[in-house]
Amino acid sequence: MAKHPKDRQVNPDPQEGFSRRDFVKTGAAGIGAAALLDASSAKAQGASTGADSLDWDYDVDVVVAGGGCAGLTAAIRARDLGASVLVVDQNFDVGGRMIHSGSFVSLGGGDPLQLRDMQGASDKEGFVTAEPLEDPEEIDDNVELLFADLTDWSITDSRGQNPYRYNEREMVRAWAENCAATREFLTDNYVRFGRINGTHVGGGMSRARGATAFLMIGDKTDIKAGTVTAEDAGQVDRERSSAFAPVQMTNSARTATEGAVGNGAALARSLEFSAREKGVQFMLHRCFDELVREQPVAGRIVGLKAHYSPRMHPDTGQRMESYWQDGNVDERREVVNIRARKAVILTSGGHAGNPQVRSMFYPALREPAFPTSGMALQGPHGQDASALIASLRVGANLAGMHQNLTGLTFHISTRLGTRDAYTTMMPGHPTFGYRGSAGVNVGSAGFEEFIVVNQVGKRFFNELRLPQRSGGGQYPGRGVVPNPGLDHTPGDWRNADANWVSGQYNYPGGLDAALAINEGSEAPDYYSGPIWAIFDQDTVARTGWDLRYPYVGDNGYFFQADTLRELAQKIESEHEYQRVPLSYLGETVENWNGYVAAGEDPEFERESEAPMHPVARPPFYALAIMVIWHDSFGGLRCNGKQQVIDMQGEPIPGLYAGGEAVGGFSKHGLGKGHVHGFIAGTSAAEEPEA
Amino acid sequence: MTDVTHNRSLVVWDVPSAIARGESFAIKAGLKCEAECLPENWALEVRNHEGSAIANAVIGDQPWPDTAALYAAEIELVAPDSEGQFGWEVVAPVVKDEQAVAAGQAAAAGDGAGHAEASARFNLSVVPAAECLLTVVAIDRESQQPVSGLKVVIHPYRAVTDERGVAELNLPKGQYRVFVSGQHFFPFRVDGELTSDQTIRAELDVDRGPSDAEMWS
Repeated sequence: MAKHPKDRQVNPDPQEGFSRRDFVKTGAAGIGAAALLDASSAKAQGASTGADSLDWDYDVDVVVAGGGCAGLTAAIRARDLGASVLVVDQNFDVGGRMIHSGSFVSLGGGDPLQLRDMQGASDKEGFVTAEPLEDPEEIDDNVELLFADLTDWSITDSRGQNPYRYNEREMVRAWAENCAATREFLTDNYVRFGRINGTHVGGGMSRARGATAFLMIGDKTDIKAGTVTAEDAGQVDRERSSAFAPVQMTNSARTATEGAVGNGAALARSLEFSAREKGVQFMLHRCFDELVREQPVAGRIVGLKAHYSPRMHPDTGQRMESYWQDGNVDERREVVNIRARKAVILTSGGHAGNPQVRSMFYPALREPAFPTSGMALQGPHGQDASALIASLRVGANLAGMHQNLTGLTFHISTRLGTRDAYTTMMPGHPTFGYRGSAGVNVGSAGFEEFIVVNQVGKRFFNELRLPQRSGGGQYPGRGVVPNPGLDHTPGDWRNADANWVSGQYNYPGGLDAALAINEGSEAPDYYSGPIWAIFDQDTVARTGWDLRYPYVGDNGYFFQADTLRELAQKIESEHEYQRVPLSYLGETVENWNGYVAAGEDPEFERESEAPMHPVARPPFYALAIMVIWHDSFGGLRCNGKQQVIDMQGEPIPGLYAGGEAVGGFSKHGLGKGHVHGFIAGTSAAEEPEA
Repeated sequence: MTDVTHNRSLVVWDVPSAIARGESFAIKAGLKCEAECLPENWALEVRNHEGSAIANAVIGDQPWPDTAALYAAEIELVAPDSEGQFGWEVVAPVVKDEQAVAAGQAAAAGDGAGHAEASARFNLSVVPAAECLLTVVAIDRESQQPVSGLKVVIHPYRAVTDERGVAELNLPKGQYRVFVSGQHFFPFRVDGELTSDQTIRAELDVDRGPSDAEMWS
């Protein structure tokens, strides 16, 4: 592993690595006596009034807003280049959504992992014994091909959208050129990758480019040694997660070796460990609010304001604390002003958790009944569009706003009966209580077993098609391009031939039917309301669904009742977003049972696709079905240095962004954020001091 | 008892999906009072598709399993002599609260003091006599192992595969659409005509969850 230039060790002194300057003023004001700002005074001195009179509570080279995949990478990179770095994150722990992910990092362009697997070699520690999963020609990649793939005008996905056509070209070019260096950087910072196996949606159609991270099961959790205990990995009890890994880690024998386990914890914890070891400091429970610019929309970004956003344990009411705490800054004032001598890097995620912002793309998704993916893990400020909102106030431009309509942006989950249907934390992780239940993953086939009704109790679509998801545009591209795999040619007009495109179109629209106006929708927002799977005791007997804690709970997302009338009453009185009675539920079920008896569903023609089952034997059940907003593809416009661009097309000095805060890069997953972070961290560290 | 009218909900279940002409069968019907009153000889009446009362029953006094206060009765019935779809109904007539009436409370509460009428419709599929045996063998396509517990539905006939992955259905001759489905498998479907005893091999594909690449991060 590459040593840090200063060969730093983790320092328990939270103040080391940057200077805290209570009451420091910019410009000629100099250093004053120690004092604390309260919320009202800080709010009165926002970006709109400039930074001349602002009192700084902290002073650091680089401030990173958000400690996820882009933020951690940027922080380590800037620290490697000698900058003092403070990461501000609204959550209680580090890792953002990366720690909950599958750790699938799709890069390419001839990155070191592709080269390793082409040679059939192991990793430098010799952990990887699995044979390569892709043939050498499938990973024989280069920057030009990667760039061509990610700016390919000719691709139309099965939803009729164009995942690559509208990508920002300068940013994508820089991204492609930095993939190899970023892969090496990640492995230099304790990340162990298994074999290349496919590509993420948005990662290109021509080659395999993605791999997942792993750790080895061992006697102790030791990132340097590459080991994690079975308990920390969540391998001891199928109904428990750990504080180390919100998601139970899974067997990585196929991609790495026997005894390996992987997911986002293997990636995020490794990077976090390295960051803390190198002296990156973390101010958690702190939500970034505003940027401070020298003039309201002119001059340099010189810092940011952040407010205290403590996340409390859902059961004990105590403040939750991060898994590791070395390097944490325990700051509990309501608002602090943090000066960035070199740069601010915005990596605080997208806008999927902000219904008002996401309604720019789809007014129906202003519906608050459907929170962002990862709501329970990240809390109320996760994915809250903070980077976008703050940057707009200092003159930033936007990019790729329509790209939110591509690929995996939103879909209907097959995990039912939980408040957060995206996450999979089990009891043992402190945020489980915010889910309230783990949910029941019925799979796509499970939608045969029930009827689905809207907030007034009416069916609205063929249930079997609700969980269907449109195919994404990634290698090998079967069904998306006429000549998939190695035969694919970027930019070939045949890919866009109207006959081909219309033939592969496969977007059933169930999600849109779920979000449609119904009899319970009221002005001005016309919320569609929650949707419910309705079934009976025979369904439970047929399927074996485990309707007990921790899979379901008394959280308003699962109900059992003796009769349908009682079921409707319970839903109305106990679900937080059920605003109207399910007046039609009884009639709907009676009609449905008639369709079952007749063998014909005149409303949605279900009889042609799967058997139908009556809803008759008491007790009766309802499980909430959730619409998940997953990605944010629209966001801040950035150039090839990840500098945020203003409305005049000029970089805003001292302001960088990466990951889902950035628009114009329709790429699902972590690979986008890591490279953005790598570039932004490099560029920020090279900035002159303000 | 009551001094006002309580609404009740009536539930009907265990109606056979297919019944031969003139065949005897049983259904279950349950009543629940919104105030969770105990039943006191609450009566049920079954009316056929012509509105004629064809059977009666009295609700039992023990809650149906897994319910709080749903009380049920089993009702013996006989299928019509002709094939086709029939809509029948179970009715729970009004129950007057005799104690309330005697105490003069009924007048104050209205004539309906007691328990209101409740009803529920159910559907019968009356089919011809069986002529052939259809055997369905369910196999996991990937492992080539038999799969038990799968549903075999040939509307309106239903069966479940046993530990050998086998389900047997006695059917009249005719055109059929065979579905085989169940947890963790996408439905298998085949259309055909049954003219004699026949065996169908149903190879099913696993309902694989989204991969990491598809779902996460």
